Amino acid sequence: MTYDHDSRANRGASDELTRALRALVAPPAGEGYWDGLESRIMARIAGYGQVDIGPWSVLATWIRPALVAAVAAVIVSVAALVHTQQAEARVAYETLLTAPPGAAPVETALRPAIVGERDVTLGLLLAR
Amino acid sequence: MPIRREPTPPIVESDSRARERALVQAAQEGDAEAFSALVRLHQRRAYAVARAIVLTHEDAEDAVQEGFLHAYRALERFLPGQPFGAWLYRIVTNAALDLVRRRKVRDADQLSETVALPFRDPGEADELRRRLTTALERLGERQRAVIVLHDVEGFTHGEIGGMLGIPEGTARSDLHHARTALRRVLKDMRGEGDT
Repeated sequence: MTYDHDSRANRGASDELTRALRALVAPPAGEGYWDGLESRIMARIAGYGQVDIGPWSVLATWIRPALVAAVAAVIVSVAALVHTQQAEARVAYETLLTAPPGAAPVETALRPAIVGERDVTLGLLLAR
Repeated sequence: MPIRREPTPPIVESDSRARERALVQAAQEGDAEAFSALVRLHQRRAYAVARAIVLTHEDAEDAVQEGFLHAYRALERFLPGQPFGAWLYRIVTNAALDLVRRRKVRDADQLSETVALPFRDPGEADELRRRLTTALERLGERQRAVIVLHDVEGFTHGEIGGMLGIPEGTARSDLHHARTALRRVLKDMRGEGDT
């Protein structure tokens, strides 16, 4: 099926329609406009890959070094904490092993609980 | 009497093709001046293609800029044997269609307002142009693109099909339906004028 075989009346209407459409979508005429459009296109292409975030761009340049510094600080802190804990444990262990002879013996068991009067009475009764 | 032929237009065309190919190759190698020359060569036609799809001059300009940016990004994938213009216009077409879809989703109200009150164009006050604009908006972007690309810009059905990603026959029938709808606008206006 073809749609190109129009009647003469339709062709006349088509011509009028084409003229109206042409006027409606006519591109800007001045050379200055096209020079400007070319400049804008090339500016966008030049900026391709560069994210423009306005005044935040100053801060954005510091984000990467700041992140690296923060990660390094966390690593150093964790290492220092682990080192301190290990040193404390070592000192405690060495203190225990190298205690002086006159020192109080290390208690290895719990002291007996304080016995109340009731328990003493019960003990005497059972002993009889 | 022998027919005198016009002096060798194919050579001129081949020259311009060769020049274009050289520009594309240089642009692919990173020469910004070469890409700028390609922009100069094609921006008018690219604008016409975009303007056929979108409803306003501003949107057409946005689509052209987007299209060239996409083309620049995809330049390394362009095969030197094919015509650069057809490739570029397809990209601009897609950019324009994307823009129309985004507009539809984002703010349908603003779109209809734009159609009713087109901007910065003194001729828009004209009744025929106002009605045509409304009728074009009602057509939908594909039929609108087909009629403008064919009747105003002179693209063939095959070229239009290639740009819009539709079969040639569909472009042909879209053209028929679009013409019928727009002629009705003209007829209605004449009818009103007679009464």
